[in-house]
Amino acid sequence: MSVSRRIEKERSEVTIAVDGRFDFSQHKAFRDAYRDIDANAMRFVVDLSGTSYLDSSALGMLLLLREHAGGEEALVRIQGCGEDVRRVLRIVNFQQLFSID
Amino acid sequence: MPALESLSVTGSRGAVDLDSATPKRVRGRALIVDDETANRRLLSLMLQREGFHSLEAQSGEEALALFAAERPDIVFMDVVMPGLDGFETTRRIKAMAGLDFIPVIFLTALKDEQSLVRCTQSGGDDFLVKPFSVTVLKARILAMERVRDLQRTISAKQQALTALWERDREEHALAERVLSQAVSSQNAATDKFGLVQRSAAIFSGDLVLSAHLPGGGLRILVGDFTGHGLAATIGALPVADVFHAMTRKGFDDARVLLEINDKLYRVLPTDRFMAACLISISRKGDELRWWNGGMPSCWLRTRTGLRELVSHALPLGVLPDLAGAEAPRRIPVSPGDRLLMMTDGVLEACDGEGLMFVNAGFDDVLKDWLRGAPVLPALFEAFDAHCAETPQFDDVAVVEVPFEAHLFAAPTLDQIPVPLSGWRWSLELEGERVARQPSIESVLEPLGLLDGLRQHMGVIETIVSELYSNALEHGVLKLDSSMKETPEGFDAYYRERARRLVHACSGQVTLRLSYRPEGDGGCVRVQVSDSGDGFKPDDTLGVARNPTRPWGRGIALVRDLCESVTYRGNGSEVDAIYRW
Repeated sequence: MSVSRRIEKERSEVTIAVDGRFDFSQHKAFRDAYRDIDANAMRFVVDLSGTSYLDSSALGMLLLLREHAGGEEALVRIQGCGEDVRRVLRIVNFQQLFSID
Repeated sequence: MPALESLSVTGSRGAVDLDSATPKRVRGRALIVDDETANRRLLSLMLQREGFHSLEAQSGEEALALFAAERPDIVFMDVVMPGLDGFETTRRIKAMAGLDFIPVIFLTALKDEQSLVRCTQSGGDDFLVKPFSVTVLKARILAMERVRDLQRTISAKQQALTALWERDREEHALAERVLSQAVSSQNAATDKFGLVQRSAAIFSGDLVLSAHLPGGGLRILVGDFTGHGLAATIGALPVADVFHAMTRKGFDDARVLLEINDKLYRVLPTDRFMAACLISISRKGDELRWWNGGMPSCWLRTRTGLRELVSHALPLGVLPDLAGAEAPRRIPVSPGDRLLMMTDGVLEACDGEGLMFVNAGFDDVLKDWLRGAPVLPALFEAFDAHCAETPQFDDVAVVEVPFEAHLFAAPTLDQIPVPLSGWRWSLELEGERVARQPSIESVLEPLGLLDGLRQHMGVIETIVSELYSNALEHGVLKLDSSMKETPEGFDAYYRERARRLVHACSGQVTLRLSYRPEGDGGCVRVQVSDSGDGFKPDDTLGVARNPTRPWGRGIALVRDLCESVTYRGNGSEVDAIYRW
């Protein structure tokens, strides 16, 4: 279980990767991964390719990231979803709020 | 304690020596167990110099008696003694000490490893091999005291924590009771559909609400808040209030959803929301309307097979506006059809290997579901077998709705036949009270007088308020409608109205309502009279001649709605008949 981030300055992109279970225990680490980043200068990508499970508090954390990134105007991309993760995102219709690869 | 006194003779003599050595503080009581007097005396003397009050026992048996009576703070134990040996004595002392940490240090001449291991096995905390240096012993005592102090601190905190935890639990249990009563006590027809609810924490983040529709039929909401525990449950209260109040008042599914969404969006922080599934079943039980925002698919078992009702909307409380609630999804259903609704706690429950129920067993339950038969028993048999080894992690709620003709048809109001007799009601308002005309519906509702005319209340309310404001403005306040001819006048009219209400209001308005049922319909008579000098109601006919005139529309509207409107007493009395 870990949250890591990669900043690509030339592409103005921050990729936050969550490995293992994405649940409330990741709350602080996930928030720390974006809170110091200026949302006007960078785009956010959440990489869930290493995520085995996603619970509803993780959905809440994604909403917080979206808010940090600018709310309605934000385009946060979610990539690398496995089948279980994709199912959860589809059930809550997050494709309306995020760009899901 | 005579035994102690005889034992402590040397101790007191030692204390004299101690005085000369100016001991710093009392470090507690030390129990020395040794069958050889010389050894005891020597150690006793040393310990007294270190600030201990020493107790001596020459056998294991004596040590146990002394331990029970004096409860020493540290014990020094010889191994080889006649009677109970040091190992057994230590074992019993440790048992007597219970959760209290009282260090036992073995002082032994035995050097073989096996004996030293036995020292530890019997409960000893440390050992020193004789002969030992006084400096080393002092150091060991200090170390033991540190462990003991740490143990005592932890134990005190543990007790405080346990007390806190228990109080917390009691309060949670109480709050849970109050909350779940408040949320579920209003639920309707709960004996007519299947429901299984299990909570992972004391508070459940899952919510099941049901209410009869005013025209007959049933509405059910199954919700799942983010997270669980108190924080998840707290939003259930406003949701339940909105659900029940708006359903009772006859609002459609979309309006109820919009209102709940709006409330949750305003109340909850960004990362909190409620996935929900809302269904309405028609009075005849032949139509299902559904909306699914973020809940697992519902499953409808019909004659032709299984139909999946997939989540098509965002959960409630995520966005300020709720898109897609307006167009209800309708499915015709027949008697014998059944609907299964559930929260994700069911599907995502894992077995010992971490495999979710949705990927192991759930599909088989659906496949084996025969039309007309309940699915809950088979579902939970499979579910319980699946997670027999694992603790419950998430809240679980499952609802199964059977469709039968008229099963959910009747809210109590409609079950009672509409009374065949009518009623008369009146109200007189005086002085400043005339300014506030009460809502007729809110007055009649608690009196139980709306039976049979509920769907006409909108019209009746309009008639009453138009006639009332005429009586107030032209009768009591003597305002002239023609003032409203120009935009400035319009404004002046309402300013003058407010001024006269405050300063010149000594009048009276009387409102009389009566109702008479007539076959399939009925008749409501509205009479309003005021204490004014009257006005020329015929002026109001002017609108018909001049449709753009900005005033005088009220009475025209009333004439349109009513069978007849009659003015008397120079306009200070009006009598309107509304018939349907």
